[in-house]
Amino acid sequence: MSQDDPIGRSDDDCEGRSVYETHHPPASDTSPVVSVAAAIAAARDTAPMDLVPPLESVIDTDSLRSQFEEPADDLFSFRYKDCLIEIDDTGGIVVETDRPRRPKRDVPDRIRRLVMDRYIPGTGTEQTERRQAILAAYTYLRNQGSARRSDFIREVYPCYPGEYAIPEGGWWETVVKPGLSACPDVAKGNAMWYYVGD
Amino acid sequence: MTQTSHSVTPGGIGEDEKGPVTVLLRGPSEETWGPIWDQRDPRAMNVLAITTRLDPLEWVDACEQQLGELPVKTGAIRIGTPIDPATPERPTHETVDLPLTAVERPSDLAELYTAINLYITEWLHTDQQTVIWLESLTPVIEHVGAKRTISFIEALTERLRMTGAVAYARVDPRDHDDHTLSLIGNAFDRVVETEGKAAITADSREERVLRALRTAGELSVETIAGRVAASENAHHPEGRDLANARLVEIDLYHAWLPKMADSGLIDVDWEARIVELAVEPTRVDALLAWRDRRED
Repeated sequence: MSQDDPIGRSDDDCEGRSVYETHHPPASDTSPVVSVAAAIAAARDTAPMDLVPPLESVIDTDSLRSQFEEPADDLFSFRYKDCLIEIDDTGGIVVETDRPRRPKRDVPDRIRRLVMDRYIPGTGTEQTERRQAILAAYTYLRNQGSARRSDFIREVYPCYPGEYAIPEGGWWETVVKPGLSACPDVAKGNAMWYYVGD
Repeated sequence: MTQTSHSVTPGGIGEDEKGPVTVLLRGPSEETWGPIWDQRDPRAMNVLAITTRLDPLEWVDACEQQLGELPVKTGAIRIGTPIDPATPERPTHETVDLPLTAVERPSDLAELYTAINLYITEWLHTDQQTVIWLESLTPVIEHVGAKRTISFIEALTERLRMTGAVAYARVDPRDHDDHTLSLIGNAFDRVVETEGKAAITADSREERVLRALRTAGELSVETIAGRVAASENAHHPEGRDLANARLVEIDLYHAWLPKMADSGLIDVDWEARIVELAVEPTRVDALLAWRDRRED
């Protein structure tokens, strides 16, 4: 990701394939099936619930879970349509697809209105920049499928600090976290945030 | 004087006329409502739910599941984020007869008090006792501080005493410092420390799906996910973050429902996302009873 553009990261290679990388933390209470589905959905520019057929049709999801809980192999892989999914023994998930990624930069009007209507701490300019930080975090998550708090801080905060000197505290706790929580197509697990819209 | 008890099932809270009218439940967020469910007759109560994170419709599902039927009157006040717009698959609060009021700013305690008072006053003519739930005091404390929160509780307590209503509010001790917790606790008639371990159940998602379908016969995937999430949250042993219904729905769709369909327990219309029990309810009862015995 370019520091100048936290939203439009493209990991396309020169042959037009794209590679999507994410991680399912060991401490997560959320099923790893959700993390894998979110990763494939992000790679295919769709919603996890719009992936047809369900993952169970192409892979035994019990063995998928086992790879995260008690990995028997260094690398576990399977195919879902045009995607090759590889899961390593640390919970790393890589989805490689032949289709080029087209990062979404636009924010749906309903989300923009929701953020504009929210109470945001600060003065006029600060409020404007902090709303932009929420929208940037939303767009980042929309393109990534899932993300941890540290991902937002690492990837979004540098370009959208919202006039906060540090990301911990005000930027995350009072602006971005509650802002994301209010978005209807964002779901929070105990360790990860997921984009569940289309 | 605030009375503090350490109990998983605080017997008699608010049941008699001289009992406390405001009760603070201190404990992990997902466990704390159990004591209320365990002791209530839905035919003898009206319930006003004040939600901060939970969708009021998910609350209706959880309430019905826990009590077996809905209380005589139900209402909801949603604090904070707007309520999601209705979709064809998702009913509105009006279709489930849930009068709903929105208080957009947790800091607007005057509006919150007015909204609560409207429900209490409207239900005064009924024979049932009004029970108020406040899902979490945390957003209020965070927005207005302990002092104004206490003033609000005191004003509410006075109104509750006049009308015979009772209120339960939850606070997760992990969200506040000890001083704040002490100040807030003193404003309540009683503080109950709730613990989670006694409520552990070993139900898998498959069993929770079967329990939901055992009652309803046929449900949408979205509705099942809401019920499974509500059930898991009500029984989470360590009080971690809420099981999110949207994430449960993805897990059910991609893993559990296909397995259950393959085993012949359910039929799934994958296009309409409707799930139907494919076996007799008595077989579900036998299966669940067998699993219960095995776990014992």
